[in-house]
Amino acid sequence: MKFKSLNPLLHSPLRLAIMSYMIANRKSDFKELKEATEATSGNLSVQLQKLSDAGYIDIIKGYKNNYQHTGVEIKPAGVDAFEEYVQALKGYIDQ
Amino acid sequence: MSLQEKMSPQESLAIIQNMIQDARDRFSESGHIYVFWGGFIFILALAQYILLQTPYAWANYYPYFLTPLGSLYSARYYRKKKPASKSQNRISRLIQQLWIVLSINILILAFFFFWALQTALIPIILILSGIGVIISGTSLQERIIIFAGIASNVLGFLAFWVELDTQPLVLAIASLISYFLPGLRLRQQYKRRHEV
Repeated sequence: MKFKSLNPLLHSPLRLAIMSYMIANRKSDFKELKEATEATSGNLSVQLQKLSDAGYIDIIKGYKNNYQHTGVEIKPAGVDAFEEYVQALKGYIDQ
Repeated sequence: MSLQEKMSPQESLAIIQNMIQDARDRFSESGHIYVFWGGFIFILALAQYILLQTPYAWANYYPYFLTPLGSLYSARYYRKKKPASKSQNRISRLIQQLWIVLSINILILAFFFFWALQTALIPIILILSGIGVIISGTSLQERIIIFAGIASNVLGFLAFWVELDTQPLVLAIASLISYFLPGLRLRQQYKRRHEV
């Protein structure tokens, strides 16, 4: 009840960590996010896909130096959602 | 248990703070290279100043022939640091590129255009490096580096009014104020951040 207005998609440790990192960096890649969040590849993939499905991030698959590369970019909708989440969070903390 | 019930607002805030700090740490400067260049240029400039006051004034610019050694050291330092550090991000790449371009330009000016620039050489070097320091400081969000860059910039303009014989002293002071001291402060902050 208390956390009802917090965006459930962001109110998960790993997804919140990903979004916080993306807010600070705007662009990143799978490898960097894996190191930063210390998540497993499988879990990270799943959570990235969820954030992508919500339109918060773009996942760009391609090649870099002949190796597969997965780029990640935050989208304006992701920035808005994160800002709303932080605003809602402030409300709870200020209480 | 739903996802919403897994975290308290304080835990959420802690995650946000940690991740943003982590993102910042990835391109946070340990201060080592600032301390190195600050000390190195201080010694070279001081040596030039001393030579200018002696009968060996003709050799006053000789100490700067050691500059490539400093560049080699920097290159080696970054190469060694790279595998230990996590993936570079856009900002750290940008800062690195900026300094490579600035360093090449400064070296070309100092070694090939000294005859044309004469008394303007040291002021121009200080102004150019000041711009680099300001941009680095802004990207790293480190106020102390921004102020150091402004100091280098201002000293560069002031150096136009200083005699050629005394200009190395301005360069020595600028290297202390703009690189060495902020480098020490950064190192202190970096150590404190990494101890926690």
